[in-house]
Amino acid sequence: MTPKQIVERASELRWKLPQDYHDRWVESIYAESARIASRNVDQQGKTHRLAWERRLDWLLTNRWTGMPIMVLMLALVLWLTIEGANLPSGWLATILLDIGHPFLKQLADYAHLPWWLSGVLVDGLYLTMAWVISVMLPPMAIFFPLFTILEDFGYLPRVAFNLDHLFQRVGAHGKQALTMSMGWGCNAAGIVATRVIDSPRERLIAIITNNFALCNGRWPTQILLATVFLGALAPPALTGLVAASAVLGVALLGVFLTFFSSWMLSRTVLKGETSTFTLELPPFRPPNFLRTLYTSLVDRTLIVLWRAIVFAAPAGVVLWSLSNIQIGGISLAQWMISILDGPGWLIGLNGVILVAYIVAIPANEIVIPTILMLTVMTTGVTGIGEQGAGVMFTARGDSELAMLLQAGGWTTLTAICLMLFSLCHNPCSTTIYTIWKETKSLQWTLVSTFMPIGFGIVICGAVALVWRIVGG
Amino acid sequence: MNEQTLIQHALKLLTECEYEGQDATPAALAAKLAISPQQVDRLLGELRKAELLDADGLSLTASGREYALHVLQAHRLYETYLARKTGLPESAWHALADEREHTLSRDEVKKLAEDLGHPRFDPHGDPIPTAAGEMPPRRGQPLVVYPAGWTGRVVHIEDEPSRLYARIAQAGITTDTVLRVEKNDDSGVRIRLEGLTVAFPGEVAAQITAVELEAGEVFDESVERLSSLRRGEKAEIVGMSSLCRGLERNRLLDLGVVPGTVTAVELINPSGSPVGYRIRGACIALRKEQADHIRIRKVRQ
Repeated sequence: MTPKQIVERASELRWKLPQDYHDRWVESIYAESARIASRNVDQQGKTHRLAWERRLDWLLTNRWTGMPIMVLMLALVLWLTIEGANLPSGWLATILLDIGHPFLKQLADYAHLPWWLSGVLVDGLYLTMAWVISVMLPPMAIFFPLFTILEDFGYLPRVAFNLDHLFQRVGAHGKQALTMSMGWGCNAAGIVATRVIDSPRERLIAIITNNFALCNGRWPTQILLATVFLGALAPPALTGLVAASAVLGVALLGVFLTFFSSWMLSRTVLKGETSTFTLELPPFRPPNFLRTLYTSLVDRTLIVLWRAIVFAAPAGVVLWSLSNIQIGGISLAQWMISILDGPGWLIGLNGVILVAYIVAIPANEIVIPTILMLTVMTTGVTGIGEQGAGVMFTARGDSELAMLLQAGGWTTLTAICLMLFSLCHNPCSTTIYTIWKETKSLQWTLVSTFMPIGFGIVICGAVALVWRIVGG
Repeated sequence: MNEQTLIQHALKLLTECEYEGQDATPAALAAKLAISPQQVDRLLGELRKAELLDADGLSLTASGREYALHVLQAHRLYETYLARKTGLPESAWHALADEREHTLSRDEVKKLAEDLGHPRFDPHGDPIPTAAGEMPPRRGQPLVVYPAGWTGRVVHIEDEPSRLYARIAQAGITTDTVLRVEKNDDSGVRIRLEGLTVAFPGEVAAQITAVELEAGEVFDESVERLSSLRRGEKAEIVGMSSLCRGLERNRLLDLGVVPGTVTAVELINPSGSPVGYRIRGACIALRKEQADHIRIRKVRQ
């Protein structure tokens, strides 16, 4: 045979091979390696699950007990986080805000810094940063280790297993249940956690929709507004119950929006992304507490906190400058408020809130303090928050707060719309940056940023419209 | 459709007819291309002027065939690409490939073939012409011609019309399925595969092309699907169907879903999917659709 004939013969024979020849070939390579491994590698440890493991698995994934256990666990984690964070948050606030801030202010006076420099540095940069740390650090330092312990023990994969059929219906992965709950602690951490989803499409869905999980920067806003405005509508005995149900309602709306937007995304823009599903259910292991504490503090808490500080510090400078730089006798902040008052009204909010959301893009924690500061500035209410323009503060009581906000023109509608808008608005800049780091795609970063705002405008606009028609 | 697209579609259809051994008629072209008979006449005139078509009749010239095979190659390669590298549903492949086949240059087609490892068949079992324009002779007969008791292997499934194709896809029949014809009469064809019995009306069965089994190959009655495994039963994995593709196939292979692995059901979600299977010492949860694509043989305890 000549070389040419050989080539011809080969290409002729090539068509005679079975169609799935390539796949079968790969399969037999894998099978052969498995055979070699099992012949030559001794495996230690048990191959069967123990009786208690089987029983526990049955308990955790059963139709009747699986769900209640899950809800109970989640409630417990959230309760421990909220209750447990109160005390250290208070300490940090005392040290950083009540003692640290006046001290630095005095220091600046001794050093004869010009008023604007001490304003920008101490009232702007330092105060905002201190605020974010004192509100954010304690809950994160409690929430994430608790979560990691559950993960270590092997419970979280069971949750994903239980919920997978719900997520499958909207084209998502069961593990999104985990990244969503992680988002209740911090969206940036939730987005980092989507790395556990190995399917590209489902991971993108989990990233884009994570913002609908209320993060710990937004829980306080929800609780505050629900207590002050909605709870106050009910008889005193029911105040707590009404407020709690309102917050729960918003959180559940977030879950619903997660499902809805996942469904929408998987059927439209993400249709072409590849998709696979596998979920490993590891054996139960006693959690290693020290390692858990270390990894969750270093990997999650500190990284997220650091990014938040990096973003929050400049925001403080911007906020202070907006309130103190004047054009034609009116501060920049006031200009912006009067421009945004109209659009704000349409979606049941006002200019102050919108300006606060623009300034507070770096961290949701500073939304309420910023709103308070701007309200005092625009209404000229005296008696609270008199440290000066651009200096954030908290109200000392609910009634004081209600009085102040009502002076700013707030109604029940404003509070409801703000609660909804707090659920549906752009992610904070830390989260946006994390999305960019994780996806390396401008397109998906923009979608993740603007989709929630779109939802927020539509929902708030509709609520405001209906409210005004029904309420006259 | 613009001029060029129309010409390419016409050439592709003519090659397909030639390959399948059917006679092409202007009326069939008009129906397939959704244009009027006058337009077909004008189109054929232009093809002849460009010397892509013989002066009389509807057979292609050498250059016409070469051009048509390029379009066919682009179409089938692109379908293979969509199947392996994207998550788009099967129903979307054909229309997308119909668009892309006109814009892919020869270099791009060559690159695509290289990236995909020079596949020989597209996901429906149609041969992909090589750059030199080679295609194997057509094999097999439609399922309807085989008598009861015949065993064979599916090599091609026609994906149009999609109404008929959907029924075949739903039964999980693919281009490497080994089956046995149970019954074949006027009411339709009943076949047995992977532990299932499926009945199709004649028009659906006609969409499936099958060949005789190769020497040494037998229809194995004991092969079933992983999804049929009950709690307490054990099974040995035989392989994966070609419906399990791309990233997903690699992932499952990595996890140890390889021929010879023994598996058992460990955990069942109350809704029936996913199910946790013990695979090589780990418990891996798979959805029902995935377990459908894994072939097993039950082993006695």
